[in-house]
Amino acid sequence: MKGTNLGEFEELVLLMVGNLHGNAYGITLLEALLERTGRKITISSVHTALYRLEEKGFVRSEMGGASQTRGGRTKRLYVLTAEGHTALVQTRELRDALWGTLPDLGFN
Amino acid sequence: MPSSTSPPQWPLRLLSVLIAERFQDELLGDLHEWYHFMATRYSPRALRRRFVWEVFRSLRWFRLKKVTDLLITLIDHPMFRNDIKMAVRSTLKRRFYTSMNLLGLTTGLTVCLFIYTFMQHERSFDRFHTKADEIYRVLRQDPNSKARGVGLSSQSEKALNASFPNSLTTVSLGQDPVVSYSNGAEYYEESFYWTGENFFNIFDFELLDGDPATALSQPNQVVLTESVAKKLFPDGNAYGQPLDVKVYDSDTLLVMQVSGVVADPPLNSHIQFAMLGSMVTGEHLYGNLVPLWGFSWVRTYMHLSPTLDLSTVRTGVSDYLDEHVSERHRNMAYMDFQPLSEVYLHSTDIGKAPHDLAGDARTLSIFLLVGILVLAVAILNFVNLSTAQLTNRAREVGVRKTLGAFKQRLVQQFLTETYLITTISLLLAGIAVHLLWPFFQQVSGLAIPLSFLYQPTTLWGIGIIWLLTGLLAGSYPALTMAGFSPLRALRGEVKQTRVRLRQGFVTTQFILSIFLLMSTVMVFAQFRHLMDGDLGYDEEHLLLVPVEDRTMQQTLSTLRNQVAELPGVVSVATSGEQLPSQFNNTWGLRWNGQQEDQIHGIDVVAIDEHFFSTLGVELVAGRDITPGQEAGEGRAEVILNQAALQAMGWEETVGGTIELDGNAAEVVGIAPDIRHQSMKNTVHPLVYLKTHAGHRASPDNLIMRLDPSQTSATITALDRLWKSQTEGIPLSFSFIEEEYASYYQAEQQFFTLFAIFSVLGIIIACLGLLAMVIYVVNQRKKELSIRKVLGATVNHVVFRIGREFTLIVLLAFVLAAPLAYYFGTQWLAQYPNRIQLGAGLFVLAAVISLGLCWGTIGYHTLRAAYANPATHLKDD
Repeated sequence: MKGTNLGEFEELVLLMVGNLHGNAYGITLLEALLERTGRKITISSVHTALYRLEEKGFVRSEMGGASQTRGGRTKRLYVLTAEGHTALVQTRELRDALWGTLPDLGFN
Repeated sequence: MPSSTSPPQWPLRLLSVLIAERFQDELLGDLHEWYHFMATRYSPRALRRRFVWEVFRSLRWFRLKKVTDLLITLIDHPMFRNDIKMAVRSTLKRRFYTSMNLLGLTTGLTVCLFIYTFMQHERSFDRFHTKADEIYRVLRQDPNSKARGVGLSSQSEKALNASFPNSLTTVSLGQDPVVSYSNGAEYYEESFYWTGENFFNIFDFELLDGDPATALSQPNQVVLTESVAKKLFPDGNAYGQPLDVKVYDSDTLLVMQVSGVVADPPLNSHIQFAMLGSMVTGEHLYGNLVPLWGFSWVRTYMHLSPTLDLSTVRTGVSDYLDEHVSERHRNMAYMDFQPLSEVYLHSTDIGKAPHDLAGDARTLSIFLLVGILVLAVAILNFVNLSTAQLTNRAREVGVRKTLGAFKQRLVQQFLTETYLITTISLLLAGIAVHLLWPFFQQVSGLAIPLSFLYQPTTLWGIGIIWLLTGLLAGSYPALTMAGFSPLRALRGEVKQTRVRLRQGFVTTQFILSIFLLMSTVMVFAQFRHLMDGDLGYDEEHLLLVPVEDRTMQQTLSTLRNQVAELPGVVSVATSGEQLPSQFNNTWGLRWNGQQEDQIHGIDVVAIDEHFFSTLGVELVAGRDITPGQEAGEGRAEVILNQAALQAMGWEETVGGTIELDGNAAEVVGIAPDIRHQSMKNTVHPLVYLKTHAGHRASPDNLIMRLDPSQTSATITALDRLWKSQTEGIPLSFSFIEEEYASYYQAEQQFFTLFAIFSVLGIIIACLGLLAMVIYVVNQRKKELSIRKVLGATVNHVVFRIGREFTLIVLLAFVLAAPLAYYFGTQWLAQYPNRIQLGAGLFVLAAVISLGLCWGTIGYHTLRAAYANPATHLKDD
């Protein structure tokens, strides 16, 4: 399938979905991302990344509980799939391998 | 919790309308939470702003609903759902009336859209110049008669610049026909103008190639419009190329350099040009004439810097002229100034330079009135039909009210119905305008691009028309219906009081449409009057050959004698004015017994002894100019026309002496007032005289009367003769009768548009009448059947129905006639030569109105009259 690679922001979101297992949805993800990265992120960009990940099969979603702070609307909770996990591992292995062969360029 | 912790509702509502169902819960919920989550980070103000931004960012393309879903949401919205549903049901239930309403409103709105777009285009003229508000056209003004003219001497521009050297800039345009040679081909161009380096500085004509500051500052520079450049240099690189240009009037061949390519002037510019030559070149060519105040060869525009106001310029220039210009020339030197934005629409008293575009503000007001009238007829039609429906709907209103509907709700419901029909009509009218646009362009003779319809101002205007139409058409029926007492409505007691009112509406509608009809008849009569007018000479089979070439002009009398020998030439004359004439030679006139010691300007026409005989004109008194005699030999002989005698208030006629530009001349004859210009102009006072060759007013045209049976042979022979005389200048000729007809093109367009719009208005009124007669016949079918059973004849029944409508039409006619008479007199005042508004026109209009009325109601009336009474009575 074309386009199953992970973008940098997608990778972050996917990792976050794994970390927040069971409680990963738009606002918790946004909260965590803001906290960890300090970037300016809109809720819409988180959603867009989630839709792409779902299309690629790396996460799946189900509707969860509603609450007063949501104006009575239900949540869409995201869960990491096995494919998603594999994709993360592959990305990591690729990085590790590349790290291992990186020569000392005198930056340290 | 304070209220600021709940997010603003409108962005969320908007989202819920626009976003597809499957994204709604997640997105709206998350946005809600986002608001609470961020509440601690921002001030309440910033929070709201950022929230709106987040909502806006969430409007991604893939999330939006499909168009059909969106429409369903809108219709399903609780506020509209019921009203629209009811409106759709009710309009579908009354298909006949709905289609009548749709047809009427669509026609009315189509007319409105056409007229509105046309007006927008006319009003947009010359506004594209960024400095438009600071630009003025300089006019020559006669201090006595206050008459203004476009033609100026170069001295006027000099005087302006000398009076205010720093705070105003001027530019002049002098027209000069030229032939350019390119790749062995000749290209004749009349809209060639000499103009100065300020041209591109003052005006916003877009220079595509070249430097605006220097493109017209050096000798022998020429700037071409894009289309001319394409014609002369088909391979594309005109800029910097040399170009051979022959200037007719000065009889010189110039090698010019293309110093720029300018975009074709926009259609809404009154200045239209094809080629621009640098003014220094032109002034060099006419070096001996340029310093003369009498040499009016340019028109001038000036740009005022914002620090300078017009009244300062007026007094400043006037003082300058008094100080520096001799008394003899001052009358030719006085100026007036006209804002650029008024030039196109408000110059009918000034006249226009050849090739300029000119409109008329009166035409705009007339079309505005026609548009309003036609729309009013359509709206009245709507009100009419809705009122006729009132009785049928009274029961519905009664039931609704009984079930607890408030008046306001009912008004809203009926207005929704009206707006539904108005909206559909407007959409249909939009389609009609698109389909009919090429036709409109052809008829109006204006290549107005359809894009004018989509300009923001036009769209706003259309929005306002939509709003008003719906309101005017809907509010009366809505308020009346909603005001019904439920008890009386259910009992069916609302019938009787409405009849008179309905008749009032029908009458008003007919007043308007009969007014339109009468106006059309008047406009047509005046148009015919102009077209068929007597010019004072026999214009049939007269051929005009302009001789632009100076060398040929020198030997024009020899050429005339050769032409006279050609087969089929009945007679031929030379003339200093074409027919129709421009009159560009004005001389100073003095005579014995004039009121004050001042010089009057009079137009001069150079002729020869064959002129009047060729035109078939008999002199009123005296004799023709002595044959064979060259001017300058002996005493100068002149012929005056009757208008000149009248203007001079002169008692002496033949044998008197006048002084023309300081030289004495003997009046040998008096000519009748022949029309050198179109029937639209008044007859100028004229002096006819003979000049010597090379004189600046000397003849430069041949006018010949042809034998109609051998016209083409004559023209072939003429062409052969012409080619033997000159190299390279093609023969051009025109039939004088056709040239006169082209002068009425504006009238023809005006009449055609006026007639089309009026006829549409009248058709709408007839539609209304048709619907009304069907309604009446339907309402009265039982009554009529009983009458027939009791012995009424067909004639009697026809009379009973027809009487009502005939009376309405007659009443409307009586009321419309004075209106039409008043406005007709106003409109006709612009034509010095006009029709009399006699009884005949009104009788004709009355006959047409009654004919239309009976034609419309005839079929249904007769059907009702011939109907078998049993069919309508069998149920009772």
